[in-house]
Amino acid sequence: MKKWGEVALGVVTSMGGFLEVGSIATSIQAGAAFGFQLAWALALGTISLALLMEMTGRLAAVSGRSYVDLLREHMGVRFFLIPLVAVLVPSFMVLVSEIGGVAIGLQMATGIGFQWWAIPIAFFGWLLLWRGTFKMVENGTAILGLTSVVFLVAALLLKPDWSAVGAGLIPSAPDHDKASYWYIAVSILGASISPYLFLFYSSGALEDGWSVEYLNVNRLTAGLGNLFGGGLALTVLLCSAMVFMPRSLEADAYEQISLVLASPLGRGGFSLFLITLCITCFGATVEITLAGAYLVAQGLGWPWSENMKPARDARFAATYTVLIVLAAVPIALGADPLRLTNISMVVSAASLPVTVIPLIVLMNDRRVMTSHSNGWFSNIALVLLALMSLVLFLAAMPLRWFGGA
Amino acid sequence: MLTALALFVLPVACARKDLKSEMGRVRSWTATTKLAAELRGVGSTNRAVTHQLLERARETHAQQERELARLATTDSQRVAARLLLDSLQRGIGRLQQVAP
Repeated sequence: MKKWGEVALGVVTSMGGFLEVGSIATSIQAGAAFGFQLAWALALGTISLALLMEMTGRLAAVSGRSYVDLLREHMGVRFFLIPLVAVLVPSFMVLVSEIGGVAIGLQMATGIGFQWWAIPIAFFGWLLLWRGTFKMVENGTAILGLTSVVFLVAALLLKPDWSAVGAGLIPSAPDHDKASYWYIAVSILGASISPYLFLFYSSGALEDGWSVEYLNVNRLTAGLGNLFGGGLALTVLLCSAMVFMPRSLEADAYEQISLVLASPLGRGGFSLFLITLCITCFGATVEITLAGAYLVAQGLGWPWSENMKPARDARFAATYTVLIVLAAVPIALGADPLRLTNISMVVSAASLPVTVIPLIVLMNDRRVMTSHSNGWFSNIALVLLALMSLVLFLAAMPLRWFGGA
Repeated sequence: MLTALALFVLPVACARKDLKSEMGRVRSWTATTKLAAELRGVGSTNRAVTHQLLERARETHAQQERELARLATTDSQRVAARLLLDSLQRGIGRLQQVAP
């Protein structure tokens, strides 16, 4: 019974925590420019993330160790420096974007410039990490993030053509702005499959004390949580396709994006958009900071746990402190949050191969996985994911050149 | 290593600009000012966002005036660009009326 409660909570938190600055911005841009046509990219990103989360969660539950820890042990310290840098840099950029998302939400609510909010946001994020526990971080902001269900309500009120939505789930070539189309597709995939998401999930499994008995909990949480979360991201795309596309309104500023719910839901929708943006981005800020600290601490073999007092894992606590303070600086200096978001999603997509490819080795190592190693289905899926990550790596930057705004 | 880094970073630093996409940007901001004015008129948005959108629209107008002057090479392109910029200017005027 306790485990079913955990599944329910896991699904709710995955759903509430799915939307963040990247998924909101890229879904809105996709809907505004191409209607429902890029729904497939969201579906592909969601399925890929669910698979990666299931595997890294299983790896943690079976081995009792995190993905990063095993990566360092299997590949050696020198090789480990590559994923360390390749994950830390895009994660840091996404972290800056998330702080920017909260800051711009507060600017739109109060009229006070977003730069002024960067340091207070970083302080409250740090305070939550310093004083809080893993459960508090994982569940608190994600449950509050359920305000994002407002997109579902708006999408239903807008009455989209469901057969056209269904057609959008099948990849098709665009009839205009091809480079922009593929650029947004890569951005959506980068937002959906950010490496920090599954590294955080894997560490979270250990924080929650998962063992082999939790394999079904893991499967259901990764599957259903992402299904509902991805569904919510789809409703963001639907709202944008119904409100912005008919008006030829591209979304290249957050102030424009804020109108997406005001149109179908009035003032309440507008206010809920701001609340959702602030809560989901704040939740992601805290999670990415923690994921960065997990990555460094696990990779370098330091003691780590959000459930420990900071004095007991001082280097881990110092890492998240430094990360969140540094990430506030670009926003405090006035960097454009939406431009940063777009760039960080593409860089995030480009960084995938170094985290996905080694997973093929680890998930098939019977010394680590015992009888729970990958079956043929999981291996085929993982190889396809690795190939896709290589394509994203090669395509990301040229598409930024030809298709980026 | 440095070459690879440069190849990776350069496209990020300088995304390509063309006349079609820059004209699309003006069209998009004209639509934004229209929608924002409608929504503010019925109280669906707040003052802060209306002011921020107005400011952004003005910046875009000034910026696109320069960009389009640079990118438009024929008379017909220049006329089309002027019409779009005038339309955006009217949108800014409408938004200004509801953002006291």
